[in-house]
Amino acid sequence: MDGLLAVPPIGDDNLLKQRKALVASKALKINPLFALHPNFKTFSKMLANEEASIIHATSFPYTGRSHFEGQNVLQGGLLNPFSSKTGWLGRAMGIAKITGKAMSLQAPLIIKGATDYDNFYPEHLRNARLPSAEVLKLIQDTHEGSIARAIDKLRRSSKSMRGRRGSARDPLSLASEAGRSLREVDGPKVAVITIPQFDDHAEIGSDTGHHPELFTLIDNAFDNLRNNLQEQWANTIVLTMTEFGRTVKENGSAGTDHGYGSVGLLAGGLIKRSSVIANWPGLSTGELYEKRDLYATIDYRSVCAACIEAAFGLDHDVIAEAVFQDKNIPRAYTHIFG
Amino acid sequence: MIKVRFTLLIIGTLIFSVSTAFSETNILCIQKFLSKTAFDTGSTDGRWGEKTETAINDLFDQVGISEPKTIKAKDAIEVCKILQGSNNKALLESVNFKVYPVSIGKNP
Repeated sequence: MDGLLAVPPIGDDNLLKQRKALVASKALKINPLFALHPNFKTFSKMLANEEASIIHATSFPYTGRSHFEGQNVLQGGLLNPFSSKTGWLGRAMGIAKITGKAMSLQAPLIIKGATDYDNFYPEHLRNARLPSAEVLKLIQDTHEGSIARAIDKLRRSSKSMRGRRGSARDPLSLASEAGRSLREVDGPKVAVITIPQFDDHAEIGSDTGHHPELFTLIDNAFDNLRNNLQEQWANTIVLTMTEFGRTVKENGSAGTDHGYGSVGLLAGGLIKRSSVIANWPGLSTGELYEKRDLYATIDYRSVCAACIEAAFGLDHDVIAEAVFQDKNIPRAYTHIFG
Repeated sequence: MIKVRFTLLIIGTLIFSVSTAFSETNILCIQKFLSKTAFDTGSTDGRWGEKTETAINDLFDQVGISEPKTIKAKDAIEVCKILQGSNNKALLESVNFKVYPVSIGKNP
């Protein structure tokens, strides 16, 4: 995601020197340094209501510009891409013994490592019907051990999916379904949703266009999650993640290319005080990473670690060593949830 | 007479040297602490410059420590004691990142 378009640092004099066109004309001013793209309507109200925060100039510790490697570091949570077959969220869920649900056909790497999770991704097969709970119970009774447990899980999923035939696979429908599942007493406690297509090398848009449309999509996903979580919103933290940011300057096609630092958006009732958290590195050419990218001065793993600490109740040192395998990750909890 | 003068000079040099080393240690202590925070000055050379002074004053301002009011080089010992105090870990955590408060208003 282009973090400078989403949360432009309007107080930095170098912003308009570096970017001639890719700044929203009516950005919502947050404080003297930062503003918010106007398409984040719901999120801006969450900020005003002290239930959202922004982390800027941040990234996972990956400075290459490969989507495949970047997404693997984002999900694996380790310093080297493809060095783990489990994800940081899954490892944390495993330690905390927490259940989860991936809103996708295949479980993404990030959730692997958890001992109890499943998927939700609605299929629409012609003339297909969900097996009744009674039939599944009969099948379950003829098995034992792990197979019986798997059928039991299928039976419970089948029950929870009844009456939701209209479910669709788009991110907003999945966000609504995630909210409904998360609020159930015996439902999952973690959900992962993917919103693709932020790779706008051309015609990224500023006030309108593709990236601003994606901002609206993210904003509506926050809204759907909150509306469907209902009272459980108070016990929830939602965080966005991106594998890397975009170049500070626009390219010749009115787009931006693969960069480094970007922005993270956090919302949920677990946040008690809204703020923008950043060690702002500056935007003059000399202050950019390789003279082209926003420097990431906050390791986003520390933000993820703080969210795990808040939501799962794990100790920071345990998260740092067992989940991210790096005891030097700074503790950001007090800044986000303090 | 010459001998006495020479001796005094040595004593003076010694005093100066000790004083500089002592001060350097405390400035280094401050700079090393700063280097772990959002107020990193980029160097730990043991010398009191404008960057160190601004950074430590900003840090104290953010965490709400009001004394010394405006920190100067002469306060290095006292400041170092605060940074190495019993709540060092909590203090360090509170200045890992710069936090910019939000004042977006109820109806943005």
